[in-house]
Amino acid sequence: MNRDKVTVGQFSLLTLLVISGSKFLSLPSKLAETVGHDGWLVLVVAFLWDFVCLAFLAWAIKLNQQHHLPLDKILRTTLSPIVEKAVHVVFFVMFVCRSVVLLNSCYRMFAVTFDVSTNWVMFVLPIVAVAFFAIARGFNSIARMGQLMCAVIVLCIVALLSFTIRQTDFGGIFPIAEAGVSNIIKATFEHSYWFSDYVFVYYIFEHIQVKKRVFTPIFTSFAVGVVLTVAMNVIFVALFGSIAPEIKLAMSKISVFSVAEITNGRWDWLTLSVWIMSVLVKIVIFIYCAYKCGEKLFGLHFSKPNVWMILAIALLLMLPLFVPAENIAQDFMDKLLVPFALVQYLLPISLPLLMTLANKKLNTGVQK
Amino acid sequence: MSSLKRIGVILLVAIVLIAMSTSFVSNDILNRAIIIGLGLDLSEDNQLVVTAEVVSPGNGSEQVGTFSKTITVTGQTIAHAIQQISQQMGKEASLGQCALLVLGKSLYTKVDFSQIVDFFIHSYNFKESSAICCAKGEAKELLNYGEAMSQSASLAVIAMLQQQSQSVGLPTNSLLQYARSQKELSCTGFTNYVEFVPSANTDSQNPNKTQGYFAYKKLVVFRKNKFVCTLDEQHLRALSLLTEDVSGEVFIVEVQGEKLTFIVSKKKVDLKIVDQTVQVDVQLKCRLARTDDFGLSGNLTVQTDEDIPQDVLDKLQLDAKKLLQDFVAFQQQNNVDLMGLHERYRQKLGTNNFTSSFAMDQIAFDISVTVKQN
Repeated sequence: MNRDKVTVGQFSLLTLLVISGSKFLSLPSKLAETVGHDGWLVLVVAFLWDFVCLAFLAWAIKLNQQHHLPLDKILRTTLSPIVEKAVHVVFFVMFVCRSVVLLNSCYRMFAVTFDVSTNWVMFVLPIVAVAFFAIARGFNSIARMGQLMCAVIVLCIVALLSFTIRQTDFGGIFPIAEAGVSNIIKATFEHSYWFSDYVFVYYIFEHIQVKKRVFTPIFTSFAVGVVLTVAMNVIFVALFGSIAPEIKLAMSKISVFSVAEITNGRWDWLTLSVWIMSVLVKIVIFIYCAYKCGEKLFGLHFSKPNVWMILAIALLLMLPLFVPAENIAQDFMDKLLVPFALVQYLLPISLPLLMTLANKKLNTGVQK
Repeated sequence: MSSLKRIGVILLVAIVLIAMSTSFVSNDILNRAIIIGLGLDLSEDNQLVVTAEVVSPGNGSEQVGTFSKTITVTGQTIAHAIQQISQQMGKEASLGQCALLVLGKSLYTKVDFSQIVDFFIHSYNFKESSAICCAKGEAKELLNYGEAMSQSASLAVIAMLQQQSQSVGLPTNSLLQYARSQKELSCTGFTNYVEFVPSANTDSQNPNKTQGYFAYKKLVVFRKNKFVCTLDEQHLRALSLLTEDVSGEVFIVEVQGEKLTFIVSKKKVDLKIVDQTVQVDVQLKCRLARTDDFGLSGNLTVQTDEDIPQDVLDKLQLDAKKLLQDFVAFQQQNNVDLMGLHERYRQKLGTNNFTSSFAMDQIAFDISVTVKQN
């Protein structure tokens, strides 16, 4: 039995979860710092790029149903083993960096919103343990979990949005594109690191199974994720205006506007604690992908989870003990932004072509 | 998995769980000083005097029925003062549930308190949706009126400012709105002005006990967190008329020797910018005030069948227009923008020198008021 098997429907729901799983934390304030109240336009432009890439990816998924080729084999056959390794290196660094940044945001959110104080090691280890379990059980376990939780998480995001809307003056987002189109596009590129959340697909590519439709479920989930994320950002900039750059954890601050000041219940805690599950799912997916990257980088395949590999990833996740998590993300953006952007945007667009070439080459090889 | 391995895994999980549980810092509620209101004053030697109203969980030694108590500390900065609260109470000062900031007269009339506002805005825990207000005298004094109100002083103020204000014609600001107003464009904004009004003692068992209520008849205007002026009751009414989500303003009209009271139950405010002229169009729907219809206002209020004569409606219209004209003249005279005109211009023209710094008397106003029966 293939434990990594994922249906298109499950992949679509996971895409929706990962899109809404991180962009409500530190990204809104970073965008507000760069382009003011036009932060939401950066999201729109970035998501347009993502949509194009996702369309090519969906096409590639459809094409791959015949041969179920993994990404590493496609790259090795069509380009070269060096390119394949380089792609894995970029992805590995990206997955580790993003996991660190997400963990750091979650850690702060737990501390400030839920008043849970612990140390970094004890915060990270249980999440790594869940990732270890997911690796042992296969990606299907994550997909099933996402399937179960998606509706509840989306409902909680909608609830958080709808309660905050009453307090928001949407006039604050005008004039639209005040920062200038070129600055918005520049900011989109500079923050591209935060997008293309579907990149985890490369590590389950050969396991995705199409039953009926490919494009409809993927595009629908993506559209829902985009609408929720953009709406949240619009509310954020309209609500906080010029002080938005100073609000480092958007979601935990937006949510306080969903409760009256002296009510007994904390509705925001309920919705937040459900929503944060999507961040945890995203972290688990990224740790899973980092593990798979490691396997492919060293040309290994473990039938059982390799403890040393997981330990190595866990150690990398301890980096914030020595370096601020924000610096890790910044270093990634400074040093690997262009290679990552190449992989992020060129790889999905060229994947259908690479797949066709790989199939031809492999078929020719078999015939000979 | 062999039995030995299973036992090993269970042992490992148990050890990890024990390690985890001991690493979590326990947060016993009795070890926390849950602050629900903070008062800020300035001492004569320019030290910050912070009064915190702290929820009292009421352990065995405390008086039954005690809800809260206040503690006053002095610090060089706000962070220092809050640290002092923790030290003096022997409990961690928790700001997560604080819903009120009271600025004492000694503070807001003397110094620029930007650093204090920034401290709360930058705080992860403090809610930006909290209310902010100015006290007539010392903030410490205001927060100590809990006994006179027979409830927490902070909660009494918050209940009025954030829950009942919309139906009694009282414009209010949250900390977020106030902080934004001090940083954006005209850098002008307001906070509510709260004073304690003593009333006759009706408690025969405690003849010396102070009794009274909080009054909210004025607003205090600030520019860049420095005191500018105080708005009186008339200007407060005008500002209320211009605030669409607030209703309940009262007008008194004399008809054939009889004084009739009318309440605004619905309104529509339209602010348009045409060239250098601001067109203010206020449409009011009024009804005759009755004893039992307090709070019956808002856009979903039902129509009444009482017939208000046209000449009365005309009088109401004149009164309202006069109120608004005076308010605009006051803003031009003091160069304060309480109508959000700089923001309106910014939304139309973008951020530039003009939208950031135009004086109020550079703008012409065209005010029109229509009054209809609800």
